[in-house]
Amino acid sequence: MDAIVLNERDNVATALRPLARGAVARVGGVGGGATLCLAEDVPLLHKIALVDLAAGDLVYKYGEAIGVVTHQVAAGNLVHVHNMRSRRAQRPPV
Amino acid sequence: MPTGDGRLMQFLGYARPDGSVGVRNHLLVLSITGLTGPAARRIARTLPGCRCVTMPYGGGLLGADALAHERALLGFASHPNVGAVVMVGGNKPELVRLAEQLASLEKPCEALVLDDCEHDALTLTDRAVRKGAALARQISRQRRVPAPVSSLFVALECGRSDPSSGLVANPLVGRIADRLVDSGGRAAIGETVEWLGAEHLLAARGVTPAVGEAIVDAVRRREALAVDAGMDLLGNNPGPTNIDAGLSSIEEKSLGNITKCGNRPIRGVIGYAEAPPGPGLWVMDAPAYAPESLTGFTAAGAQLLLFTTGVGNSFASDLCPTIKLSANPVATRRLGQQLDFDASAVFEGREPIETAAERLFEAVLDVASGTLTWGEVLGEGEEVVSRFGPAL
Repeated sequence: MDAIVLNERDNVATALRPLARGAVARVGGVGGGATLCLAEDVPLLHKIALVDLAAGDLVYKYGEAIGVVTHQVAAGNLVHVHNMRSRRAQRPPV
Repeated sequence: MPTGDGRLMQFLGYARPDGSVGVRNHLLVLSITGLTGPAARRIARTLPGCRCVTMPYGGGLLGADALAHERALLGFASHPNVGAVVMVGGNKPELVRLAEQLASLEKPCEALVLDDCEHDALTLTDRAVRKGAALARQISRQRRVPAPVSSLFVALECGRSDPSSGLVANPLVGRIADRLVDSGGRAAIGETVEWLGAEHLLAARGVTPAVGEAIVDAVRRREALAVDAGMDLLGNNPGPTNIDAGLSSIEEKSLGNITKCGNRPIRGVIGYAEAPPGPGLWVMDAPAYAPESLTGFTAAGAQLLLFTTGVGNSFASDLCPTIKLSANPVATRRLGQQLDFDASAVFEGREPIETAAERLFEAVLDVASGTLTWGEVLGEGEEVVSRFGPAL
């Protein structure tokens, strides 16, 4: 298992090892058994989009919204502070 | 000591007159005010093996600070892990009051005030060492006896988290929390700011709507503190260590954090250093920084702490054995003399989480029964009582 999905509502998987661009990641956990082709390097424990995400979409992990997408991200790409932000914290995005 | 169904439900502990059970039997040298801190440390150096806690403040404390100070002093002095206490201080009425409280709990205690030592710290030192030595010998006569898991209060902490904390380590600890609560024991989490983003999930588990409101209110007040101070909640939490390790938002971090309190109903919100008034799961409204957070739990009477980390964190409580665990394979391979429990096999898919939970529960009872944590072996513990405002 290269990446894990924690809840059936989740739209990201979390990398369980550093993964290279072009790799076909085996995704396990809830609803597991899928594979995902990675469009870029994904460091250990970082998140990968399971589906295409548009700006304004909510990012789901643990079955709950962990933030909002700020810049469109395609399936197989990294999801992190460069393309998503917290909804709960007070400061507006830079 | 397995029960009929093979599950461990007991540990070996020190039965105290007040009904509590300690997992350690410390002689505590306690300076109740800052003036006698150096003297207390000098006393402690002459009583090898004792624990020394010094409160750097004393006179002039107001409001929440005065309350925390009072709670913490009684909490340390009467702690189940403390066999006896030598208290020193420069405030006679306070010392007398504490001694009376300890007498009613039948906690062996000697109280020495600077005023009664001709205001001479060396005279204080001499008398305290002699009395402390006698107490140390006295408490060494006590032996461990079987005690039920229900007598345990275990508090749960995370520090230097990474996503492996939320993926494995915290859910693992959550299973321990559930088991403790189901056995009639007490469990607690704190670090209020880290509930931010997930507080609605915690609030829904309150045993009454009032508890739910108290949880949401605690987070709102903590958040307001940050905003009023002009703090950048995005930049500071998750911190740089967390962000490098993959955590993108406070919601993600908080959701990963709150799995460590398991799934049981939440009995209520307790204040900093406040003892939970009954069995079950409690949440403490407290700062997130480990030294302050751990001391809040210790002062509240927790006998053991379970501390998850992602990348590594060596800090521990001094009075309360602090079991360190991580599921990060890099950290667990590297930190052989810091991490007490290795959960990386779950992370690597080599062990089911249920098996690891069983293993962790056994480790908790093992430490409760006397096995030392790395933090105890290496002296990584320190008690730090929070401050909330200015003093006169």
